[in-house]
Amino acid sequence: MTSFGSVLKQMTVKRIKLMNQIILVQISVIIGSCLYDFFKGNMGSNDKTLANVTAIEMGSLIALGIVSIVYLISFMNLEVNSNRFRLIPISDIKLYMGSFLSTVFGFMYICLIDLIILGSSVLIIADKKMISRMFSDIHFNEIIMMLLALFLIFSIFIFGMIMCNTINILGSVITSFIPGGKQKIVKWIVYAIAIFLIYKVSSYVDIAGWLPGVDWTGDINDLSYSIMQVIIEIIIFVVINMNLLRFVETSK
Amino acid sequence: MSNLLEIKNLSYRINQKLILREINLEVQAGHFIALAGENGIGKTTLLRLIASVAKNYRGEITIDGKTKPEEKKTMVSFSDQLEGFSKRTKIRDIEKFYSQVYPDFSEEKFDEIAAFLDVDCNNNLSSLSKGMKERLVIALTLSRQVALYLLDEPFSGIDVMSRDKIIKGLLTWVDENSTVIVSSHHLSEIENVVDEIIIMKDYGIYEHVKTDDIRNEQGKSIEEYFENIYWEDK
Repeated sequence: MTSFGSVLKQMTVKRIKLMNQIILVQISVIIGSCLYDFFKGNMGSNDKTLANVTAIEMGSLIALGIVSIVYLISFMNLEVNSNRFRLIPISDIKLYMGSFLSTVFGFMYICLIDLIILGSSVLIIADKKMISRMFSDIHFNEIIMMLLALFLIFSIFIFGMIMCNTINILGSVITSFIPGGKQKIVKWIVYAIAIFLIYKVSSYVDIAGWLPGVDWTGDINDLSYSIMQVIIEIIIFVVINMNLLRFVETSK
Repeated sequence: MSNLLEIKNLSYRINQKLILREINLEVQAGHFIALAGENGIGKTTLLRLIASVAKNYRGEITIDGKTKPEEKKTMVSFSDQLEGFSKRTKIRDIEKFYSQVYPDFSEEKFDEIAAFLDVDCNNNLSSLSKGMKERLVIALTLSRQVALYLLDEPFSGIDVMSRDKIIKGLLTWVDENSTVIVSSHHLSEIENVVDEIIIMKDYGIYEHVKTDDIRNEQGKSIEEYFENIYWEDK
């Protein structure tokens, strides 16, 4: 039987290769835009340059971030629907765990690289006075909140990708059973039903209700609560997907 | 001798449409079997069920006593049409993928079969014609060392001279203890290599018979025998 490690490695390497291509495009866009701004005379003082470069980086990050998410979702769906992966002699549960973990690693990789790009430009462009100004008023609590907020955003994107996968899986399972399931209109109705079912399951997750003795007030606790909520929902839907996979056929 | 493949009371529907009904089949190791039937009769579906990529069936499919899909997949090599690979994928990358995910895949054997079939492994998928892609699929499928090979219409798009070459090659590439089930409309061409034929008709298996029995007792070729079965109703 194929080892989980081999499958995870294959899936992760595929995603990292794609992320590297996206990062290359992103760096090219950043350099190109900065050069354009420089020759147009839009770069002046360090403050202005840093603001322009950061704006360019954030813009490219958002645009190519969306591209990377779309690709990660399509990879997950391909791994569920194609013979390429479903013929591999490994259990559906391990196959899905490989798909899920490699998606998390791939997304984590591009997020880290983007943070490095953003941080590097600050260090290169900003002078010591600017850097000292940026960090002088930051307290430890604010650093913790910033890290938690970043982790929350990361988790929400992972949750979004798992949701798209659940819609695909649930849609595939339902459409294979109902007459006329191959027709487009039937598929769209089934996807709408799948979205509704997912919403209903999500609405049952209520950390505050399950742990009534815990005090969730305060900014850090509030963020922690949101993170726990998202992570529990990710776990629930990963388990649902793993168990539904045995009913999903590959496309011919 | 115990059966390599056992199918009991297999029924399958998709979108509530009946495809297969109450199929029973026993196949032993070391045989070359043709799977024949008219278009749309369920040959590909039957192969997909055996390969565990079609699901939601009733009945039982056992390969060498194993019933779990992941265990059955270790014993089966199914001619996947490479749908999960993008057109820009290089053939060497496909070979590398297979060698990494299938412990029983032999790169040496793949290189040997690909060279025999004139597949240029330095190309990517988009540069292959339909016939060349089929040859690549055959090379990938037969490069695994398994007990059961399932070839789904492997000769479609391949010219008659190459078909002859491939059919002769099949006997040398497959271990004598392995079984090959090949679905094909070119029965006259594979007649000399197959020793059994499974004929599908009316949602099920109409007949599973040795080709020697057809030739000796009926005095017919397997193609004539197959055509007679379908002409009975017409």
